[in-house]
Amino acid sequence: MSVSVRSLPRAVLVALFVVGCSGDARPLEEAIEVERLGLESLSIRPPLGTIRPLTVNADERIPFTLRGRDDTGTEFEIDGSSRRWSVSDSNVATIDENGSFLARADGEVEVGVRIGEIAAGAYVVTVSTSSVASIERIENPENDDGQTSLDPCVSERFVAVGIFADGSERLLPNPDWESVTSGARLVEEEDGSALFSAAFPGTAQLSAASNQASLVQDIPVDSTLQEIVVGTGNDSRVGTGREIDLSATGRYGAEADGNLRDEIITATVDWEVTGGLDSATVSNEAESRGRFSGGDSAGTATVSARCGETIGTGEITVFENTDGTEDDVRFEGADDNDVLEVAAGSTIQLRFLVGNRDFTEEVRWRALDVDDRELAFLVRSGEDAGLFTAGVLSGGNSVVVNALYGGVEYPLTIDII
Amino acid sequence: MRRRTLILSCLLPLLALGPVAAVADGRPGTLYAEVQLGANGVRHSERDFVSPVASASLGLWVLPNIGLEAFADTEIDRGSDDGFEAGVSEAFGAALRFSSPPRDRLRGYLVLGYVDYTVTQEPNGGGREVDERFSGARFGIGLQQRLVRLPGVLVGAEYRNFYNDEAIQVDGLMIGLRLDVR
Repeated sequence: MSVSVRSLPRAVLVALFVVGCSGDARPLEEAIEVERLGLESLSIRPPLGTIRPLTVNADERIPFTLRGRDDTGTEFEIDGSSRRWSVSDSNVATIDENGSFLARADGEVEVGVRIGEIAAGAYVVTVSTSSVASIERIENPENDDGQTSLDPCVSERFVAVGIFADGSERLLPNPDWESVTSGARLVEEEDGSALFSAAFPGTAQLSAASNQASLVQDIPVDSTLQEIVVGTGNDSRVGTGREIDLSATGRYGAEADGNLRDEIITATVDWEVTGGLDSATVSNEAESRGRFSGGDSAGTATVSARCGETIGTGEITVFENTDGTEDDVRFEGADDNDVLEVAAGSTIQLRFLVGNRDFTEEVRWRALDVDDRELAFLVRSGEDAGLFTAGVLSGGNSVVVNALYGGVEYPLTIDII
Repeated sequence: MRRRTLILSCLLPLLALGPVAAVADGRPGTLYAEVQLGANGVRHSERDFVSPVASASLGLWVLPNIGLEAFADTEIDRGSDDGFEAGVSEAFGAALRFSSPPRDRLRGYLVLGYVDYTVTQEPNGGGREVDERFSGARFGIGLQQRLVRLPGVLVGAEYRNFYNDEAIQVDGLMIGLRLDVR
């Protein structure tokens, strides 16, 4: 008996670990979230362009999202991750807590979700394993009527809709996209859609193919592009061997009505160095489109961004780095950590050195977080560029000054003593 | 309310025995009972709800200074923060009490056990009440001082924590009376 009593504490502790933890804090958290959002109703949203009733093949995955509506009737996106998603029949499909639905076997299933006490109406999905019989149309799911014309060099999303052997109409999950139109650009997305743009006004052709079915669709391209503005960032200067990212902005609309709108088209125009420097280049690769490289000689390069017949140009000054590398860049008088001490009330000339050369007048000076001239004052450009004055009563403060050189900002910390 | 009355009605007669109880002080085979009052804190969704709470325990010293006890808590009121009221509306469980030998009538103790508790929450302005039941570990650490004039009674203070791996934290500070029964 005494043995069993002595072992009792150990047995109780073991039992505690076996029992473990249970419970779900989400209903409590969600009740607060519902109140904070003023959530009145909740709806389940399928991917953009989905055809209803939604029919999918087994093993197909659908990312569901959520939209809410508050008591004023305003609709808004709700984060659908870490939610209490459910399906009515786990033999037909499963769904994880992020709303990712996976069809498993033929049948019909209802998808549900709730946040606090607000439950979304069931979304019915039919799982029917079938193959594509024909492709009916290619459409822009972001347009209510599905059809659209394109502005030159502006990408729009397109999806392909097919008729399957079981008679259902569905979004094609993974069609092969193609375009033979000159100047057109096509990016196939993971969700089966395509981002498509065309450069020349007129008609562009976009084709989709799946399971020996295919469709070529004409898409009108309007003459709306008025001009292209090439952006060279804050500093249209770059050192030899250095790079700078350029941008292209298209101005669209009818000039007559004066109602032009801007679209960023950096990724869809053709970039070219058209004059000034033979060694400078600008990238047309997808991941670095519009990246200008200064090459190995100084001068002024003219860069063009072309969309069809419309061309925008910009000029970039390439200055010589001499023997300087980033390791050679330093501020005169500063320590190895680029910290410089300046007495309160004094004025000093900051000097930016690359190797043995003084670029003080060439760089762009900028003082960060200084909006009080009594604390410090910095001359940014001109003959006195880099002239720094510490305020009489500014002792004990620190100021960060940046020197922009070759597209790179170099910070100098000035401790005012 | 009925549960609260039941707990108190069970413990008050035990406390009444205080003056005649012998000093058992953790001796195996003796019983002890304890009542506590204090505040429970519940934290979730960046809100803190602090609620007054009453607790009662009944235990048996199974080994020297090691007791096995059952306990039950009930809320006295419910804490409020930023438009909501919430708190541990009830809790019960079992635990082991590891007590230090007394020094100058003062002793420290650890409580480690299992707890099943319900967190109740509702909007301040009225609305649907949400009850969620959790289970987890109960951890407590405290000090108790035996009274000179009532040697069967100890007064004490305890910090306790109901641990659960959910995104909700429950802990509290309690003061109470323990009664050793022969």
